[in-house]
Amino acid sequence: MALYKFGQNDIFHNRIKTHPSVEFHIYDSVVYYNNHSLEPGAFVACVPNSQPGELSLYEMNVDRVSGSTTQPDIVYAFIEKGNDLASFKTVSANDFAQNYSYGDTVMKNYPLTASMHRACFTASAPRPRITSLKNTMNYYAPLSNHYSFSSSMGDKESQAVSLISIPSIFYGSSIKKGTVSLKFYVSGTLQAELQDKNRNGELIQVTGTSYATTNGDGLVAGVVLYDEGFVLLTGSWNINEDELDYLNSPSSKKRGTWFDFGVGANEGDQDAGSKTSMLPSASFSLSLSGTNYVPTMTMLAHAPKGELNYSGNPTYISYDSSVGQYTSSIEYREVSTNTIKNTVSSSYSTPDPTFEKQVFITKVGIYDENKNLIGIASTASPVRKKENQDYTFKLKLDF
Amino acid sequence: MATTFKNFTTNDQVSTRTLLHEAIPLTGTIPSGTYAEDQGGADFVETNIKNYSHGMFQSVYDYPYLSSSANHIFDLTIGVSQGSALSGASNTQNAKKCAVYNQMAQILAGHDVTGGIQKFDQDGNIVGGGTKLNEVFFMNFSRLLAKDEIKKGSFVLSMATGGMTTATGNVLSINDSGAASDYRVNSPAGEYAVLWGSDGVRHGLLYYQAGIAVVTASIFAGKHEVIGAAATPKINGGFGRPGAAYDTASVDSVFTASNISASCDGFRNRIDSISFNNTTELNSTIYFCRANHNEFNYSSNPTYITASKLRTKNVSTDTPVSYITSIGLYSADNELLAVAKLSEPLKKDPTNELTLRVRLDY
Repeated sequence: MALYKFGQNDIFHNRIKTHPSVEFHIYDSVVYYNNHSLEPGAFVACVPNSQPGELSLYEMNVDRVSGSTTQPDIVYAFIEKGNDLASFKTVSANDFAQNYSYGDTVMKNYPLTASMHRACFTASAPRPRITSLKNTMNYYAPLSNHYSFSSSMGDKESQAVSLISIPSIFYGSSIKKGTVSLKFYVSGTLQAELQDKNRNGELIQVTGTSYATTNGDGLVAGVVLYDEGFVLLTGSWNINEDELDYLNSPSSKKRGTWFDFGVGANEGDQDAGSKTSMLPSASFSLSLSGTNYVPTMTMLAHAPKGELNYSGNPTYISYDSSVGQYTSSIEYREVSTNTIKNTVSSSYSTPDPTFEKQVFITKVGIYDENKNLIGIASTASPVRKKENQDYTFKLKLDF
Repeated sequence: MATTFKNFTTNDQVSTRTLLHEAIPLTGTIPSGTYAEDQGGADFVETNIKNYSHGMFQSVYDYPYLSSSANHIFDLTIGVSQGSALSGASNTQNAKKCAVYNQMAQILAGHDVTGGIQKFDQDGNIVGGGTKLNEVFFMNFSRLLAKDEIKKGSFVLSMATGGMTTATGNVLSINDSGAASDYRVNSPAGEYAVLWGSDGVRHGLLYYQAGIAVVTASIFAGKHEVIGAAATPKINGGFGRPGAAYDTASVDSVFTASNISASCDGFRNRIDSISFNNTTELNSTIYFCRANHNEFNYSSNPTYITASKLRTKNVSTDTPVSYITSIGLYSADNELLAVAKLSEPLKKDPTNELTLRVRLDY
C-alpha cells in the first residue's frame, strides 16, 4: 500500500448553502410541521412520541410507552455522577449537589422536542419576552421604521402584540429574506396573506378577501427577525367579518386580526389572551425557507501512471503460490518466486491471455499526518488500473 | 469587545471524558408480533421486517419500515462454519451461510498466522483451543442503538428456547454479567466478552465496540419434541416461524433445509426481551479563564462612555466597573474561535477576582 501526500491544489474547502423549506399549519390548537399528520401507532397516539408539529431529537422512542411492563418501554439517557460533575441541563445545580451522591445515576427522559411557539400580549399586559427584544429591534430599525421598539408607528411596550418563536433547528443560520408567508384561513377560505415581499422584514398584507383587502391591503402587520427566528405581529385591522372566539372567552367573540394569527399554537403556559381550547373554524399557515450552511471538503486523490500497480491482497498472487516466509534470528524473507495471478480478460478459456499488470481499486484511505486511518472512500464498483493509466478520485466530505 | 488577551497556562486547561449512557429496552413484541399483518391464511406479513433478494440477512425495524418514523434497530443472520456438521453442499443456501460465518469471523475473530480464518471460540481463549462456535446467530445492532459501544455488563437477551407454545416455560436469560472487569481484547474489532446463560453455560460472545452479539444455535438444541398423535402433532419447542411449514422442525433441520430468513424468523419469534445500555464518549476541554483584581475592569463597548466620561464613574476617584457578558476564545494568531456567553452579566471591579469555567464539548 502506497501513501501519497495531498498537494496544494488537491484539497478544497467549500460551503454549500441550503434553503430548507418549512411550513407550519395550525388548526384546532394543533401545530403540523411540513404537513406531517398525526400517526397513531400500536401503543401510542402519535408514533414518534411527539406532536406532529415537533421535531424529536434522536427520534428514538418510536411507538413506545413510558413505564409499561407489557408494552415497549421508552429509551432514556443517564449519566453517572463523577469527578467531572457532568450532568443534564434539566437538573439544577442545587439538586445535583445535594440530592446526588458520587456514582448515582442522573436520568434524562426522551424525547427532546422543539416546535414553534406563540405568545400574545394584549394592550398594556406585562411582556418580558417582548421587552428583552428591545435592543435587537432597535438594531434593525435602519432597515425599517417598523422595527423601532417605540416610534410613531406604535409602542411595543404597551400595544397588543403577538410573538411567534421559531427554533433555529428548523431554519438553520437564519430565515431567508423574502420567503416568509403568513396565511389566515376561516372555514378553509383564505382571508388574507402577509409576505415580506420587500425583503426588509416588513410583513405586508398582499392578498385576501375583498373585506380584508379594503381594510388593510399594503399595510404592514408586523416584522420578522430573520437571524433570531421571531415574528412580531401588531396588525389590528379586521381581516374577516365573522366573529369567532379568539380570546378563549365565548362572550368576547371578535373579528380576526393579525394579532390573532396562530391562536392555539403551543401556547397556554403564560400570558394574557392565550388560548388552548379549540378554534375549529380558523386555521393558520406559516411558511418560510431557512438558510443552512454545510461545510464540505473536496480531496483529489491521484493514482499516477506507472504506480499503484500492485496489491497486497492475498488473492493477488496465484492460487498455487506459497505465502510463507523464512524467519531466523538474522533474517526475515518472504517467498520471492510467487507469481501474480493473471486477471486479464479473454474471450477464450484457453490459452490464457497475455499477462499484463493490473489492479482493481476498490477503496481510497485517508490518513492524518501521523498515518492514522481516519476515513475510507469506497468506489461503487472496482476500477481497473493498468500500468499505463492514471486516475484521479474526487472525494467529497460533508461536515 | 475584548481589547486584552490573556494566554492560557498549562494550569488553565484540562481535558476530560464523560460517558453518557442510554438504556435500550427491546421487548419481544417489537421484533415479532406487534406489526404482523394477517394475510388471511396461515402465514402473515411482518411489516417491520425487511428481507432482501440476496437472502443473506434480514433487517429489523422498530416500526413498519415503509414509515419515515421507523428506525433500524438490528440485522439478524446466521452463519455456519465449513467444518460444521450442519454444513453440506446440498444444504439450502449453504454457501451463503458459510460466507456469512467467514465474513463475520474475519472481522470479529481475525486470522491466524497462516492467514486462515479464526473460528469463534466459546471462551475467547483462542490460543488455548477449546470448543468453537460453529453454528451461530449474529445480531448486528444499529449504530443508533449501540452508539460508541455497548456498556459492559449491561446486556441481557432473554430467549424462549422452547418455542412459542411453551415460551414462558423455557426462557433462557443470556447476559454478559461480570464483563465490566472480565473481557477479552484479542479481537481486531475491539473488546468482547462471553455471554453466559442463566443455566451457567457459555452461549455466545458480545463485541462491544462493533455492537454485535454472536449467539450459538445450540441454545435451541434438544428443545424440540413432537407430542401427541402423529396425525395431529402438537409442537413443543419447534423452531421456525409460527404458522409456517417448518414450524415443527428442529433447529438443526431449519439450519440445513431452510433459507437463512427462516432461521432468523425462528430466532426473532423467540426473543422474549433484549436490554442493554449504550455508551457515548463526550470529550471536553475545560478552560479556566481568570480575571485578576486589576484586569478587565474597563470596557471598550461604545455605551461605556457618555459625554466623554465613563458611564460607571461619577467622580474621578470612583473605581472602574465593568460587566462581563461573554468570553472569547482565540487561536494563537488571535483569530476568534468561539464565544462563551454568561447567563447573566457579572460585575467586575478592582475589589474582586473571577474564575470563569468554560467547557467545550466535541
